[in-house]
Amino acid sequence: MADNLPSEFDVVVIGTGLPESIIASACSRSGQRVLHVDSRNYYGGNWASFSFSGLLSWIKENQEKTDVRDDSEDWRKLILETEEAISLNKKDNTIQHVEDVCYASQDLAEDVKEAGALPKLPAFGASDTSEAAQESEKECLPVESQSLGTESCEISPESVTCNDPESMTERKDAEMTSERENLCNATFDQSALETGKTENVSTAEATALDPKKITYTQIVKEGRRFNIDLVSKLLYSRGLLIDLLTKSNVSRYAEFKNVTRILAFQEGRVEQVPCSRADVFNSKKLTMVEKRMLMKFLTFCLDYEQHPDEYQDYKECTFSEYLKTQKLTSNLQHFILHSIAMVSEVDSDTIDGLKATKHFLQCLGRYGNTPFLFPLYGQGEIPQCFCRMCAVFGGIYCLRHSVQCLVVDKESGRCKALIDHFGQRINANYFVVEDSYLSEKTCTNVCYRQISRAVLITDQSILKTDSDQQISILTVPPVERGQPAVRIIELCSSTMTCMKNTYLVHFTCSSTKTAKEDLEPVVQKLFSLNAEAERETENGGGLEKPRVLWAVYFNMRDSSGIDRNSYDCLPSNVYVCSGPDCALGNDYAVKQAETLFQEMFPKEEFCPPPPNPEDIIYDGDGAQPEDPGFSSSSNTKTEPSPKEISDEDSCKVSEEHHKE
Amino acid sequence: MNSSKNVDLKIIIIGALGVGKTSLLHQFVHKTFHEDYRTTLGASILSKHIMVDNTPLKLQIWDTGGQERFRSMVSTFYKGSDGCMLAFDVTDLESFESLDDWREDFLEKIIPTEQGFPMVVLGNKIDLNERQVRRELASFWCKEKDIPYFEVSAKNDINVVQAFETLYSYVNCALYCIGLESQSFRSRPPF
Repeated sequence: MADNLPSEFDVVVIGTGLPESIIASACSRSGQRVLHVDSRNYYGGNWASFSFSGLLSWIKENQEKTDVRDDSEDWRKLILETEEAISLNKKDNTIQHVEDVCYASQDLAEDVKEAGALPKLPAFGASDTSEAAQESEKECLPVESQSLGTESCEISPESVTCNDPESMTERKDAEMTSERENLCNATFDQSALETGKTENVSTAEATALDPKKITYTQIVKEGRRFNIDLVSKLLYSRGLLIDLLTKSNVSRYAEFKNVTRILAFQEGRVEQVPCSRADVFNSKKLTMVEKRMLMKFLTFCLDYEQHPDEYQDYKECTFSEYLKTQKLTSNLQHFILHSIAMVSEVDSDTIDGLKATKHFLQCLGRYGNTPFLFPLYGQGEIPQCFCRMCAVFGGIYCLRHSVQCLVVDKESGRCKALIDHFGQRINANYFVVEDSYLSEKTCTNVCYRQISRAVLITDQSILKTDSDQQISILTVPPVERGQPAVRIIELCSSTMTCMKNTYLVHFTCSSTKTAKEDLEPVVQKLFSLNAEAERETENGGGLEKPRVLWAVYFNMRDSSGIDRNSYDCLPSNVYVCSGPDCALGNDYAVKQAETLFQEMFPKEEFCPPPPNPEDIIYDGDGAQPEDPGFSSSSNTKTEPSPKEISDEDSCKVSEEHHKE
Repeated sequence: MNSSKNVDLKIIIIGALGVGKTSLLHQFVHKTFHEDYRTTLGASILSKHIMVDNTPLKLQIWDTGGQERFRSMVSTFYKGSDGCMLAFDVTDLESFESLDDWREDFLEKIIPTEQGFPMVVLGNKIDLNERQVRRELASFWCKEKDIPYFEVSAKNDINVVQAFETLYSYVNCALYCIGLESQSFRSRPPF
């Protein structure tokens, strides 16, 4: 398959994680000939997301630590006298301590298979529904029924439309909503599908339908509805990644949903944190005094630099100590420290905390009620969007393509080529390599940190409210001071990351021990691990804990923040990209990409918008751009539909760079 | 039908390198054709407003971006798609034979639906004389899979509109059947 791969490029990028993909896209966009490869058969590397079966394969691969035997060194013959080789890794070593646990009941029945697309697709208009495979019910039922009461938005350079899953329901035509709800609830009566019972659609109508207990079998069967990210992050509505996505138009390839709730965990209970003005005023949990205190403090934070006298004396203190001096109840201090600023109790000083609080507040209301967005289908979509942009400007993509070594010219010390697994020599001027591809020898002196991760499939939200379609972030402070806080992101099925009636819950913290040791205690505080028993209650207060159906724990290498000089003998034209970092946002990856790009091509603009964008909506009535109407109130929905822009005209500009 | 709602349908076009996917899109959307072959550069998503049964719809047609060359399509390309056009070149037997792979690949990547997935097959470049794929052969393959087949020419604008119309009508019909305006998440809020 690689027999007609060209051998001359300007830039070769190895690895398809986020920073590398941004760089590839920037290079291609600026007219460089780019070859972008990944040794795996999927995009994203450690930033990828998987279907359930895909994740099981990934788990298996990482649990079996087989030693890779050195295959033939034939490629060595391709190295000239005047050159030397830098071997690259044969096997990835960035994932450790993978443990998966199934809590849901498993049917002892035959081998469960993931539901595939129909082997024979019925023609349209054909009434031949008997042909429609085993899995279909007698009625046509919607698949994407997770759309119940939820909306997503596209981000465009000019304007944005974003919606909360919940408020959409209110604004929709009531009739339409209930119709959808009926259909939705009917479809996902999975047991009916399995046993071939033809359940009457109307009996499943009640929106208060108690979800039947979800079994492991069902999870496997519906496996393709899961998109499980290895990295758990959110996008700040004002942040480097959003800016980059809109500026470069890569946002066209993805859609986003608002994170709807900010949560806190205090005294064994999960509660919602009011952060916008409206939230604070409407909160039933805060006293009048607390509301005034919180509003006053947050208003100050929004332009704290203008009031230095308020914090001058506390510059040397930690933010948590500063908060104690600020006429705030301990309840409010908890909210601010852990759920709004989200900084460390012991490590962060006052200025860190104020900055973080300000950033949070500035992000409120831009697209929705919280500062955050989440990509539909998961974080794993984002690197792919940049890869697509790179391809669209001529970048060549090869998955399943490993690289044996880099070839360095002894005299100049520069890297001139690489040799791939097929023995093909590919020349280039610049090489961008993701950390995990570098050999142990090259990384001998590198000290890596680790990230502890857990992903749970659960049957109920950690904070049950009227709407079951919420996307929430919760920070659980450490039990022992000085330990890292645990960040939790709960995703509902309308994010297209999990099947209906389940939630996908992501846990992240910087590692102290194995992921299971670091995170299971927190899992146990919030969830019931016994799927069979009657629901456990918290504090006997009658609140049921959600059940964990399935969980996986793993440690992932954190190669962020490493000084390039720690890597052994890297030629100056070889640049290293790190894997995912532990922070909530994506700033690190974007900054890294921009920095490296500017080092390689100081005179080029980083990811400019495609030239000559033109409204190419063709229709009888002409294009219909809508006027942006921005409201700063965090409660109302803001900017309207995005203007559609085509980047097709840019083909005329970049064409001359891509003669093959 | 709520006509104030602007619904998007995502259509993808797949097939081997050089069969004319981009040309077909350009013919349909712009009514233009370029003789010289260029790999898809810059053009990645074309949009067109259409009317089906008095319903305004917006088609978002995703071109491959060239990633089909080494079978390295991003899965983002497939996600949320409502319909698929499979294209091959009637003067290139290999491009027809690879249809099976493209179709399988596609079915593997999308989320399965109970009533199947709207697809059409386009045999392009019928304006050329050096045919390698007989009409009957292609028809037969398509009939087996219950997919409508169209012989088209992007260059001479033969049958292109019909092929697209058929596809998006089926998509729209499928969505009507199940009472939703769009399976994908691209419906805009009505404000």
